[in-house]
Amino acid sequence: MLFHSVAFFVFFAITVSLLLVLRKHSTQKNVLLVASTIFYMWWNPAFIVLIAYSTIIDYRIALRLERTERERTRKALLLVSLVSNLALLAFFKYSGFLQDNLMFAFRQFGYEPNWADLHIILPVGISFYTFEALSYTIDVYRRRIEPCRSFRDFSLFITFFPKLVAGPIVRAADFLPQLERPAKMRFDRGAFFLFLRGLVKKVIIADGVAGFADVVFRDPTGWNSLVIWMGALCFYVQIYCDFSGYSEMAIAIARMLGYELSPNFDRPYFAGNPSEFWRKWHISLSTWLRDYLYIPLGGNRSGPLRSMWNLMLTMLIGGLWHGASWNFVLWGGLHGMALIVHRIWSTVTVRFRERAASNVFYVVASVLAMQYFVLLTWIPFRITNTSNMLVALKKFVFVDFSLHLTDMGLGKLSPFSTAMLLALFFALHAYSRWRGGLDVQLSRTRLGAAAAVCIVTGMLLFLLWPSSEAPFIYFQF
Amino acid sequence: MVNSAKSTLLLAVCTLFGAAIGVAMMPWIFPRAHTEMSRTSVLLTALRTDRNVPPVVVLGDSAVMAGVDTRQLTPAHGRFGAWNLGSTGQELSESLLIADALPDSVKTVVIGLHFDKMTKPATAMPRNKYVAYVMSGYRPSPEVVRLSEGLENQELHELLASNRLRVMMWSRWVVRAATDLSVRRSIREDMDLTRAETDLYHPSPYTRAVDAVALDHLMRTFDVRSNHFKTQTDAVMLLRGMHDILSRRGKRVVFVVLPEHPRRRAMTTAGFYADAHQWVTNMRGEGIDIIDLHDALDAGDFIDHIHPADRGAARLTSLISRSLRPDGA
Repeated sequence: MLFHSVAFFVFFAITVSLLLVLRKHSTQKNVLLVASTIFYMWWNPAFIVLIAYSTIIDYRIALRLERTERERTRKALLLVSLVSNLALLAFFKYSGFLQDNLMFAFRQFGYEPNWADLHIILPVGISFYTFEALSYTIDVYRRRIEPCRSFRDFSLFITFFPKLVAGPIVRAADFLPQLERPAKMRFDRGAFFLFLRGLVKKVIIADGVAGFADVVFRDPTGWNSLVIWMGALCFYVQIYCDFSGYSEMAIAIARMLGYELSPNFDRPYFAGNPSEFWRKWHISLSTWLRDYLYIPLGGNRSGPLRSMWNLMLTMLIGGLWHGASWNFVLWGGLHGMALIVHRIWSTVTVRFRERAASNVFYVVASVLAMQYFVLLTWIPFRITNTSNMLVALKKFVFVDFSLHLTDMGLGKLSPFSTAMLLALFFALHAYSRWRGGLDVQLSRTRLGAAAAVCIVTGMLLFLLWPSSEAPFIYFQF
Repeated sequence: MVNSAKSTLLLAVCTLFGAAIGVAMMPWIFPRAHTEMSRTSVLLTALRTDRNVPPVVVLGDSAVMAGVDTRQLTPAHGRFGAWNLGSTGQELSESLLIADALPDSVKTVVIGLHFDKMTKPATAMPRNKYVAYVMSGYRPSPEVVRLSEGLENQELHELLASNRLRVMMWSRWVVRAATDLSVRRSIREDMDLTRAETDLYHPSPYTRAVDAVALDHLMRTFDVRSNHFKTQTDAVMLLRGMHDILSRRGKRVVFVVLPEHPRRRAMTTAGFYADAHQWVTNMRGEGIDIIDLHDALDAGDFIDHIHPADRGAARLTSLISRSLRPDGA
């Protein structure tokens, strides 16, 4: 059930109506839990068992952790939670990848294994809710939060439908307290325009430019550098608008229901260095990796070499989190390297950077350099086939300066309207950087003007909404 | 809270109202937006309104548009006695709809085929194309609906069964398509897109051959063929069904396997062509008229990897013309 589908609007309208009618706090939470279960089962009812398993294990373990003072028992309990959650994730997400790699390794030694393909279906949202469940148990283990005593509340924390399938990854410390007081539903203009902003990002921009990138990266061999660059730009815009659009819709829906979710993006395409980029991109994942992986590994505390190793390992695992494929590991590795280089650079150029920070040229150059790198790294993220990836990377880096564009079949890819959508994105992105988000401004503007904007947006949404339904990219992670 | 909720509801209604305006505008926008599908409207309007629809029509995709000059086909059938009703990407399922709309004055229908199309499972036409048919006033006959019902792949049948409001909702793709085509029209001076849209005799938009770099690139876009030519049930059923429907309406149907570029032929095994030849023979045995011209043209007869140049069109048209004569001379 996609947020921008008729089915979801009906589902949401029913849920809201029930919440308005049934005013008792505990009943409302029951309604939300049932709604979240239905929402998840819409894809594949069988997979609800996996969420139930994760929920029961972590709920029970957290309660035991609170009652147990013995450190060894506490560690054992934490280990049970880690193994249970990660085993589930490993089986459903990584077993096929492991099998492929083992088969490859065996073939190198001349042995041809006769294994059947596993064909395991990836349960939607598993990477997100597993991380949420893990962070809860770890936080209870660290005594940072009290365990949740209500199984219903804990289940709702795990399954809350706006963020269930593609985040933001919510922390128990942020969400569980919200369940303790009656939710104040907020059908305000802020939430409405935030949803509309996400919808426009997803259906007009992300889906609108996706076709070009899909065709170019399916086989980049015959295209020249100019087309590869445009394909890379399309994916650069697509993945941001797709994922941030989803996050904004999720946050808006949660807000309408009376719950606050943390922002997941903060204009990452204005980041001037890798460290800033990761503070702005998929914030809920990068902070999760920082708090539950990088810092426990030793973080910055164990000397420069060790901290670089920790950084690289965190980014490699972060890459692998996105999908069971070496291209995601490579993507994570490239970002890990960039973070390390930036850290070294920051250490040796403290004075220079202090002087240059106010220099417009330096700021613009650093943003351009960083975004060039981000653009480049989206290529290995997007193309799973190694030889195609190398071809595209080569053409991206070593520009061939060929302007040969006619007779290449480009006309079928709607290049001009795609270029217009790219321009629209960059204009809105730049506007939001200097003047703030349009959604915030519209929520404060006069009702008449806001209504006029809504009519035009509704018209544009209809006219530019692609005919075929495209799921969100991050659903596959 | 109540006031805020009311104003939010009002804004949501305004957004839906805007979308409704968009829907309502489609019947006005669609005929005015120039897209590759505009040719469909031109063809259907000509078939519906022209009192002198000629006795011979040729159907098929852009290879037919570029490769058949019906002005040269006519000497055997009288002055301007044939129309080229080819359109971009027209597959068998789409040819079926045009054939369905042919008036009684049409006596011979030539339909261009590609071997590859007979081996592909999809017999449905893209939804965007069907929209152009409905928006141009086409309504499928019961015979065509019945034929689509019998196909394994039900996509075509589902399209034919869709209601007009739904089709109007789908028609929004023209906005982007028209934007692209208008820019393309202004910068591609080497392509006569107006001719491709409106010409009923030889609607080829190409005025020059592509260069070697582009040809290499285009050759790579071909799918790899298997060693055997294996037809798909639906494709054959569609072909037979079209033949039966048109024959019952008193029309002669001739299928023409269109020429392939010699470089494409070099990428194909002898086994594939042996199977394909056998299939053509079998179909002829069933009384279906098929002319196999897959190897009729040389490299110099093509403008690119698929489309015949003027010289190729002259040769191809002459071969088709010869086959249409009763004596085949």
